[in-house]
Amino acid sequence: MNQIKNIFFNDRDRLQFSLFFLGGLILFLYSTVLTFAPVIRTMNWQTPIKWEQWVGFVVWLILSFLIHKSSIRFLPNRDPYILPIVYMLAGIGLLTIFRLSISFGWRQLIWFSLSSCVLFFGVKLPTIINLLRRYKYIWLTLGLLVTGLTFFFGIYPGGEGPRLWLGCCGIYFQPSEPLKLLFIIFLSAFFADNWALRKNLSVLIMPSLVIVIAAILILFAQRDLGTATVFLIIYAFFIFIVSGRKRSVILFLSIIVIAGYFGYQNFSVIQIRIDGWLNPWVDASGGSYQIIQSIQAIAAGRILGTGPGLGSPGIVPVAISDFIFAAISEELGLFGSIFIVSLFAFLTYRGFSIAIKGRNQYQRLLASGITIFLSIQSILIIGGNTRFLPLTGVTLPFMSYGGSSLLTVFIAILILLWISQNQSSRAVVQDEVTPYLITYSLIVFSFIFIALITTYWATIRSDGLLVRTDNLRKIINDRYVPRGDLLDRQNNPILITSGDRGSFERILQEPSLSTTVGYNHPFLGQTGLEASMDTYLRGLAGIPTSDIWWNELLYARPPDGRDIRTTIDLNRQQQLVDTLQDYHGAAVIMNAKTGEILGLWSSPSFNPAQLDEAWDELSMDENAPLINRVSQGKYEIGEISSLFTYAFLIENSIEIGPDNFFEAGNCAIPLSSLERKNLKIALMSGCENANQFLNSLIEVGKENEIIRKFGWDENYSFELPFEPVSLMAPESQQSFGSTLLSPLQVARSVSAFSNAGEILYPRLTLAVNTPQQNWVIFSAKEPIRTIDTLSANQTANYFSRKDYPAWEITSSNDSGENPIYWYVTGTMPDWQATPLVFVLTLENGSSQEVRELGRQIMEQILTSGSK
Amino acid sequence: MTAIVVLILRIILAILLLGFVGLLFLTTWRQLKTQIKLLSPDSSSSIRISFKENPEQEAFVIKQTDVLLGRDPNCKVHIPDETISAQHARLYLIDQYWWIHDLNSTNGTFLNDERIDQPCILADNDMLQVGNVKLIIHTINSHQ
Repeated sequence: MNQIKNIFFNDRDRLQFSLFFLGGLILFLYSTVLTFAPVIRTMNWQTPIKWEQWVGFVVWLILSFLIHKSSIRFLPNRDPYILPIVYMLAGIGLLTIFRLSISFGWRQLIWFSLSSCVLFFGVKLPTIINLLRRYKYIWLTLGLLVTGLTFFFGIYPGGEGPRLWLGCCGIYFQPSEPLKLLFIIFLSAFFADNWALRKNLSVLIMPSLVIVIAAILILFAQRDLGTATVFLIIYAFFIFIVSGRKRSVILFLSIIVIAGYFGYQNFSVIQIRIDGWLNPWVDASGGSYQIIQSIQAIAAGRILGTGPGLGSPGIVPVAISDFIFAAISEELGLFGSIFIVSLFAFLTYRGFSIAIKGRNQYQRLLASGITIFLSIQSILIIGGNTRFLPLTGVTLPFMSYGGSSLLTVFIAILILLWISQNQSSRAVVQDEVTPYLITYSLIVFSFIFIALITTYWATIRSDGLLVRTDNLRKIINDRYVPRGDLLDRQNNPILITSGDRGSFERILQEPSLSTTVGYNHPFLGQTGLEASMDTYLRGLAGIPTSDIWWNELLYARPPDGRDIRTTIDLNRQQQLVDTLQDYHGAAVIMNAKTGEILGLWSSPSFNPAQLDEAWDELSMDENAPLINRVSQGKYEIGEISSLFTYAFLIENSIEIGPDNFFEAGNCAIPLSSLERKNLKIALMSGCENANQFLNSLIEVGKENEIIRKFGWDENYSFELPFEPVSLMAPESQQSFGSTLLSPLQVARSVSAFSNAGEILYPRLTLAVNTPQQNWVIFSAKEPIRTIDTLSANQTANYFSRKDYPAWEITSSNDSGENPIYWYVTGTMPDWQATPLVFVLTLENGSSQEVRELGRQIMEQILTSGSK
Repeated sequence: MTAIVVLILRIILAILLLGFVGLLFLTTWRQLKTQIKLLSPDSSSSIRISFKENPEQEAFVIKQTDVLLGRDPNCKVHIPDETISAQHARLYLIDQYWWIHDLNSTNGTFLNDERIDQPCILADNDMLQVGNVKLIIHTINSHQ
């Protein structure tokens, strides 16, 4: 504490040392956490640690010590804040680049060392500043010429892109970066030389305007819009500071807005940027992909940040240069982002203090020009990262990857140090200071605004942004956090996670359940139980909130996923698979008392392990192997409708006079001539005329009543997607039998006949394995009564088999291109064991086969599982 | 366990980040307070003008609040040099600041290498050029 008490501005050397010392501690902690990050991510000490950043740290330490000493010796009167702030920013930038990409880290380290050497030797030569003034035309011409060379020899080191670089053999330089500095030197020298004429605007502006237009044309022609914007804004503030007229700033801002609008109309690049800025949510995977990934990174950091090396900032595009602010925000959190914004704001404050105390007009203008350059560029890119401004591809000074940019800003800082060395303690006239103060306030106001927006993303909007499907952190987490297993009702595995942290895989043990279990794929999304049970499987539900919070704090990811016990009985499932292996269609076995689904077969299906290779084939296949036919299949019910019509007639006491029935017509099952006259047998065998006879007894317009009665239009929650039936239009001439239902909907409604008139809500999951209470059973919904017990039992009896304690009905519709065979059966109301219903729908085979297979399965189920 | 140690390190890191910014603001605040003290009345009352190229020559110490500089012997700052006008410039004290005002001299007055066309405030170590004569200004604060 005593140390801090005694640090004063006037004791420059000590203040500078304290700041360097604190900066060193910060970078030391950053490197330490980064070293052990791989161990924490995999929770395994065998994982190799990360060491490369320590080289960066040591080089930083040595260079800052040297600079500190030489600045004390050669620039005793300098501003003590500039160097520590710059080295702090550059150090965090360097280590972040090491964290993101080691190869880029080495390259940045070379540029950082080179820039520091320039600074080290530069502090001894403060007189150069006057040479810059004297030969201002030469410098600017040189700069423009070299930039012009990129038209002919320009390249883009990364492959395809804007050709703004010069160089060869692995060393590349972007001339537009130093051009910014030369431009500022020129303007300062020019305006200071012509200071007496400053009130005569036309004399003053004309010569500079010509050069400015030349510079901007070069940059516009190359589509380097970020740099062109920086030039325009620097020039605007120069005119404002020289003339002292506020309207000049307003004029230039309107020029930028008009130029932006013009560019929006004519350049697709600008159009994409502006659209992505105004409406990012519309085209989240296209034009505004970068900006959304960037604010998601900020959101993922929340307040404390994930810690260096523990987040996933690598998924933001170009994180090492344009989006380094977002990358730092994710790992250092709101603390880190506010820290960086504060340092830039403070640098601006120091810059303007130096400018106001500048020894002469030239140095004053030069210092303020450099300060405006550094702060405007950081506002543009941080603003772009936080959606405060549209994206402009400029670098974040001191922090972004890029040699030309780093070298340029270090030289700018060197000039600022020279000016601060020369500063006088002159009190300045109010009128002269006003433009500086206004410029300064505008810049600081923007920084405050950026800090507020970052806070908004990192706190209020954080949760909302992270649950978005395009948050790729979920996919990365899936490789590090085991996803919960899916088990059958006896805890036998259906779908399990195997492997080690960092390389987890999902393995499906029961292939016939692939459409039910679904998949959890990075790009194709989620389906089936993987989708509906996602929160449990991912460890976001079924666990105390405090545990989730603690895990997020320690590892920046949810806790291990929870296992789910399903209602499936793998023995029953096996019976379905064995019996039906040659067929296409759907089958479902359901407990008629609880709605639990014991077996569920849908064919054809797919192999989830081959989703990547076979996706195109699978999604184009006209047999729709990705569809779960049990819940999503839509089959015409045909003569199955007799069951429901009969029950409806009985309940409404409408007399069914079998005397009026003469001929069965087409039947699913061939009947003898005697049987064809028997209404009961004709109905059970799916005879067309028998069904029509029943339908004719229903009053016209009562069909919707049946649909509602059996809950086909009801939308209840179920683990798999399904679509409720829409009611028939009153005037439609459609027959009731043309209603399209899924096997699941049929199974649910016919459960009334085995369960005394009550129907249930089907369910596929039973319980979740929580860490505290082991298996916690999911609550079941109360059944609802559809018809009175008497009518239900009477219907079951009417359709009962003679040889077996079950009711049944068969139907076929093989007239069209896609034949459909139904077999629906259930236990009798007086069945003593668990009441069951079984629905079988086949898309191939024949109506005799469907009845034969259905009977076989039903008999197997009842004999094996009647306990 | 490792994760908890790292969490503690991360919290220290966040505190240090705050500490860095805190130190910036603390020292700035102290500096502003000192400046306000310095600006309080009776801080600077006199200036000393010495010759840059000829430090041996006797310097002028000015205690009045309004003096003239020129070739004319009546001037308080009397410098007999061909390039200096008779009444070359005026030096005066207003609101604790020393100002210089060029009195339309033939060869002009330069403050730190730039010609002045309006009254300017003088600061310690400023270099003043009248005609061909280069002068150094030293402000003398009474409490120093």
